[in-house]
Amino acid sequence: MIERKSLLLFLLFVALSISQGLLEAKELRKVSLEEVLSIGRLDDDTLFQWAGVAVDPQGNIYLSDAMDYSLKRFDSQGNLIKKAGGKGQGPGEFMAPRLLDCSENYLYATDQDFRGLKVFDRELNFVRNIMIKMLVSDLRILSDSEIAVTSLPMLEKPAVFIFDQEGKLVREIKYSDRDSPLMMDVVSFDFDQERNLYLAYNFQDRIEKWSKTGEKLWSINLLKVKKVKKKKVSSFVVPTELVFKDVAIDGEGNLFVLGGHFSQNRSCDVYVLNPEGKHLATFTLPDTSHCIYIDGKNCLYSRANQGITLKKFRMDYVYQ
Amino acid sequence: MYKKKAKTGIFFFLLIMIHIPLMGLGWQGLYERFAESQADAESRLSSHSWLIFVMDFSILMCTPCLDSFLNFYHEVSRCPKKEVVWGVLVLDEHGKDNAEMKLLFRVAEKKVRGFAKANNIRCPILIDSSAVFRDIAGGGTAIILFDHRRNCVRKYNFPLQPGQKGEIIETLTY
Repeated sequence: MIERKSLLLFLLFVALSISQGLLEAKELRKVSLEEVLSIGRLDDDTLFQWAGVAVDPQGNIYLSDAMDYSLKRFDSQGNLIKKAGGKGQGPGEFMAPRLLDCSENYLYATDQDFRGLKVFDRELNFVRNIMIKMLVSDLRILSDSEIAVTSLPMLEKPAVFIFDQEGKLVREIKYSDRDSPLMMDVVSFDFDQERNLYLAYNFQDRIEKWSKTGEKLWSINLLKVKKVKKKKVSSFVVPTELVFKDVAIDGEGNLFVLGGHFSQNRSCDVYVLNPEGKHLATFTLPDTSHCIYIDGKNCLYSRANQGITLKKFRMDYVYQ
Repeated sequence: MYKKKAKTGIFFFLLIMIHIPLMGLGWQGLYERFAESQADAESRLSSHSWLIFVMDFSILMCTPCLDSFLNFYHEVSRCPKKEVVWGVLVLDEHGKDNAEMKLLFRVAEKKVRGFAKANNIRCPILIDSSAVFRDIAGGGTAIILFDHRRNCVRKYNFPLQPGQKGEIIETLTY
């Protein structure tokens, strides 16, 4: 009887070990997209040229529209609920609305030539400006008291700056010491749940992971791009071909990087990397996009019809 | 069958013949009115200077790049002869097949509508899908001024040089 129980326990232990091993070996191999929502058609006046997107935990979608200088709020079914903003430099107005991100309470927006952020409540009522004295090139809201931004490296040092709600610099993660040519250190970035930082260089074939204490954990060249084209504009020489356009992290900690000019399908290919930087899969968006966004339910948002349409996709993962 | 059709035709012809004098026109009046409107149009055409904005589609995608154009447009639209302003949006057809061009045309149409509405632009903006004006736009925004007074056509590129704005407005309002 005791022998039989011991045998059963042993078998259970073996079974558990095998299943654990299988779980550990589970690795994402393929991502397929299923379109679940489309906002903005060619024959309506909903969106003209959306630039930034953010989604709150309830599934409401916020978009900035550069063509009509506005912010727009849609419910999870894609119905336009409210429009705010307008052209101008007054409170809550925009000259060129761009990036968006949201916290639990607020929506944060950038205006291209405005040195700071514009804060709105979830109903799109203007709340206040946060003056941070730099032009924002990328934005992530970690919480209402941790606002992460980058600026153009020609204006500021190449770093991710984290500000509090008053616009006071709390800390910075400097990602480059080199004296790089103009614009070459411009990055798109995102943070995972442990506050590790992921960077994709816009004009270099380089993707990096940095710890929250500011140590570089890894750096990879994904596309084997040696050189990007440059052009002389006035007295400056600037790169004109984007290697990577945007990054986003899903709920499982996978990194999604949108490729640019050098991808097989220009501005459509999305590379999926695990947290260790291993390239797991590549999938292709049906239309060119300037950005990607992943919400809390692992749905991916991208652009179509040159900014007239927002597409929402459910991502289905296929594991090995 | 043919007889019936002929009868209907005659009936409508007589109806029109009766109605022309009833409307107070008469044949002579009708001709005079037509001639007058032609003369009006010709006089308007010949006595005004005209201005055409030529804008590349890629510029339309960068709204801040259009600020100097918008400031200028709003100054021009305050001119009393603002009806002499037209806009042309140039699409680049290079490397695109028919279906792609058709889609691009619809995208451009919608963007122009949004842009015009948001910026209170009231002049007609036509879409140049054959890229007739491509070299004039030069990838940016340009103006063609048909200067009636000096009997010449001039081209300006944005951003305008100091003094050019005044020169154009003076030509239009002369």
